[in-house]
Amino acid sequence: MRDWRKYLDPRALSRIGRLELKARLIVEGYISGLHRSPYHGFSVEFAQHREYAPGDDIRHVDWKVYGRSDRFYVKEYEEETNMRVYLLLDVSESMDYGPPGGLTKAAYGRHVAAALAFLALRQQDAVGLTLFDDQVRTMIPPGGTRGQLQTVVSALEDVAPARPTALGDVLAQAASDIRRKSLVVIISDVFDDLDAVQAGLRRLRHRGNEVILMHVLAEDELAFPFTRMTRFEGLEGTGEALVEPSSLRKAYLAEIEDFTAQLRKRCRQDRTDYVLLSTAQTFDVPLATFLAARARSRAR
Amino acid sequence: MMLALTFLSPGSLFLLGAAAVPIIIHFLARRRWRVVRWAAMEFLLRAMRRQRRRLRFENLLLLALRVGAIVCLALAAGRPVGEQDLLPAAAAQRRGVIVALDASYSMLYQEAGRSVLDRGRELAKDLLAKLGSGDRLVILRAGEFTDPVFDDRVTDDARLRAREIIDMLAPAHAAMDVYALLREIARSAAEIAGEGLSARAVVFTDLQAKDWLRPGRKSDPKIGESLQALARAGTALEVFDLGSLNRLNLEVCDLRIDRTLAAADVPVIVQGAVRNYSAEDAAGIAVDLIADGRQVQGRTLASVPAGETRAVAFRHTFRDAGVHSLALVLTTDALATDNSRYLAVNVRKVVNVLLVDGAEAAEGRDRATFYLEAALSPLGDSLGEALSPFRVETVPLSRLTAAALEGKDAAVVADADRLAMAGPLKELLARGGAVLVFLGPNVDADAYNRDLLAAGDGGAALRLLGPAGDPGLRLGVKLRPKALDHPFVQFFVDRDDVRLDGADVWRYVRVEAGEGARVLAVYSNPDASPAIVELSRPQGSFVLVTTTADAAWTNLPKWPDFVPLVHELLASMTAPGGADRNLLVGWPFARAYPAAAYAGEVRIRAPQGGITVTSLRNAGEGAQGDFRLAYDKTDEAGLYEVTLLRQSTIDPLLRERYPEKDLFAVNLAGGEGDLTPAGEAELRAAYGDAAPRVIAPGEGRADAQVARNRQREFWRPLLWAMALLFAAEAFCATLFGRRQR
Repeated sequence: MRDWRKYLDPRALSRIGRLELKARLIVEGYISGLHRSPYHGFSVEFAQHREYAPGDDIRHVDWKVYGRSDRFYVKEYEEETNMRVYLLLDVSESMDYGPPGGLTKAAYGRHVAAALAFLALRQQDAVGLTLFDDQVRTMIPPGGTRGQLQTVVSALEDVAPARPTALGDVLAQAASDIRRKSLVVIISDVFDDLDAVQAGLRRLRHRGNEVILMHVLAEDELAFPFTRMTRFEGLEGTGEALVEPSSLRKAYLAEIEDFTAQLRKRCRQDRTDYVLLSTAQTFDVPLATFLAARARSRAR
Repeated sequence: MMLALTFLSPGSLFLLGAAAVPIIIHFLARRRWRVVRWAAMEFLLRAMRRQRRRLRFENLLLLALRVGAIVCLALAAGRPVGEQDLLPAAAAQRRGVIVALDASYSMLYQEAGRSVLDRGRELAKDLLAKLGSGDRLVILRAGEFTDPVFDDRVTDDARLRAREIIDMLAPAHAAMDVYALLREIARSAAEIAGEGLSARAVVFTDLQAKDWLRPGRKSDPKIGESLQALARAGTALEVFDLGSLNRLNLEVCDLRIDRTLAAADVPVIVQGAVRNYSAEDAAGIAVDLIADGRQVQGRTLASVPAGETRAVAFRHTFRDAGVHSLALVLTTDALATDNSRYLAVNVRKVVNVLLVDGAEAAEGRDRATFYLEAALSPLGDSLGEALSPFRVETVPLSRLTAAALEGKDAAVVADADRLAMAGPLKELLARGGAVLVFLGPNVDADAYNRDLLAAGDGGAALRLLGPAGDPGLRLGVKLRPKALDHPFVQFFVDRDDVRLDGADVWRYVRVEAGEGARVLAVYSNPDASPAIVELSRPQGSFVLVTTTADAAWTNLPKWPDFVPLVHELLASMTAPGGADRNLLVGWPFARAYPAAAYAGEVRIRAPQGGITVTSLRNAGEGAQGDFRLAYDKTDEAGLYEVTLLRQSTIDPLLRERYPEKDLFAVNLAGGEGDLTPAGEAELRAAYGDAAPRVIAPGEGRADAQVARNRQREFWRPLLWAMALLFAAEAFCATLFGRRQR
């Protein structure tokens, strides 16, 4: 039996070329684990039974009915079609950082975005995508058609990070562009002014959107594992520094921790879901976060 | 303690260049880096801004620790030795410091053109420079006695004075008395403690074992008690061993002539001895005999083995009467002071002796004076020189008249039935002459007693009791010396060539010696009967021998020892006080001069040229009394010249008898030339924890000794320091997060 869950590991996915396939594998891997997961049943809602036919997924056989009637019936679920999901992916230059041999933050973000799009579309949600740096570069309006996934994945594959970030401005713009209540998923390293970011998030929330901030940081940015004398050249023109890393590790990590703590605190203030993602982390966390937020959004 | 470092292996100091390695690595590391394009730059820069000071401090600290460790290693490889400044320069509180300089003459040992004392002076002045204003400084001159030569608070002016005193401090021709030194240190320390200051004593010495320890390297109880008292009082005592590593030294340890009485034109044997205090044999040692300031003879000793003494002898003839000087001088070695020894000799003209034969009927060998004539008039040698200072004339007792004694210095009466003491002999004694009496079978004891009594001037102190001993002349007794400090007896003491107790005496006259009579020798019978008795007299000299001068009662005259016995007896009687001309350092010179011949002033010239003018103290009454000269400034070894002022009224014929020049010799006590050092371990073994801390000389060549005497090697502490610095570096690097995990 194929173990889908291995595709939740970014390292396992690195050998697979197509993003669409990767997205599918991620979601399948995730879904396969839901049988033992508290998230079971969040994604789809039961509608009716029908008689089993060859080719049906045996997992959908209703065994209780079989016990009572001695006939095989499978459950049919009512798929939702009215959820609008906006995926906002940061493709600024700072997202182009990743450890040698590992995923860059941008690549990790692409995987997450693709997987979320696949998951959302599979659950009959309409999915839109916005790629931005200091301004919106690509915007795909939400759609739930079969070709929407292809459109989204194509846009994601065309990403070439090169410009600085202006997340606050982009969020402000997104808040004004999104006219219906939606689930907004922001995937970014949030290397921007926190006050502007918080203002943008607040505006999104005020419009009644459910907002998830997926804060993606590279594994190195969270651990700072450098030992040799290193010249750090800032992406997005943020300067450079010649550093003996071991002497500065403690102070740097304190700065990063302070930054993430600040960001988490501000998100909590505005009831924005915040999840910190490392590029070494498996993809089930963002998917679970997404589903929880989706359920919460539907309950309102 | 402040240190000035020098290095025994300075070549290894090139390793100091390695100290630059951490610095070079630091800069090289900054030139070799990898580039990382970094997104979270803002946080990195913020961390750098916040940590800049700390990072700089940490970097500098780590760099300093690494450089320091390498410097310590390089310095240790150079075998650094530190000259101790003796005092902690940083000590803020006032101190009391006692500086003692060994002023014994062994400190004059020369090395590389400088004496040990010079080095001591230099160190003492170094120490002086380290004292702060208000400190109390005591400087002690430690010789036979210990004298405080400076005691004051330290000021700029006092410092100058103290330096001058140290420079002027002259060595004594004596040994250092350690006990006296420690007592003086304790006294000064108590005074210092009384002012609430801590006392510290520093002794600069050559640390001779003979001064600090008893023979056999045993402890001296008095020194031990003094050290313990100092320790109890909390007085820190440090001894700087400045002694040479070589410590090669030869000493002229003896100089004498072979008889008490020297006479003009009569050769004497000058006997000297050279001792080698070194641990190595000395060969080809040139020894010169100096007479009256002129070198007269020389000898070369083939070898003087280590630790042994070798005798040297010269035959010398004084050509005229008067006081003459002799000096035995060695080829100069590193310690010149003990290379000479001096002797003052009162050379008489020929001593005229009248022998009085009491046994008038006898002839040949049976004559009472036969052996005396032989002893006092030996045959001349092949050179035709006389061997005896005595000129002898013999008369029978019946012809003992004043005319017979005219011009005689002494009379020897043998086996006379009585003494004519009230007659010519008394006159001889009155004019300072000598009377030597041998008894015998003819003696009438009662007549002798009457004559002695009639002679007055102490004659009553002696009473003859009658013959004693073995009438059969078979059981003999021996002579035993008694008055060991008498010049006559001293001649026989500790000699192998002549002896007093060789012959047998079968018969003698028992005598009773009262107050005023001094027994010089006794017989070996149970009641120790007097054998030779001297009467104490204001003028002249009277000695009684209670047996015969012939072979009637004793075989003594047939023994070779009879010659020196008679010679020395007569010499001591006719040249009284001769031994007093030869003194040791510190002994007073005392001598009587006839008041009739001399005025009351005398001038004394010391060996180094110092002149003392003093007055003669009148010890008698009228023209018959004596002036007595007492001079105690005999602290230099050498020859002292005494210039007397003769009375202008003195008969020109008597001027030769009362010369205007006199002379005496002062010699070193000896033993100070033994430079064998006492090490700290020996002192500690002898005195335990109370032993002083000894700063010992290092090893190596003698010309490096000056520095090493006060040096300690510091490579061990440096290695420890290096290890500590490396450990500190590792700790700090871990603490600062510089260690790669």
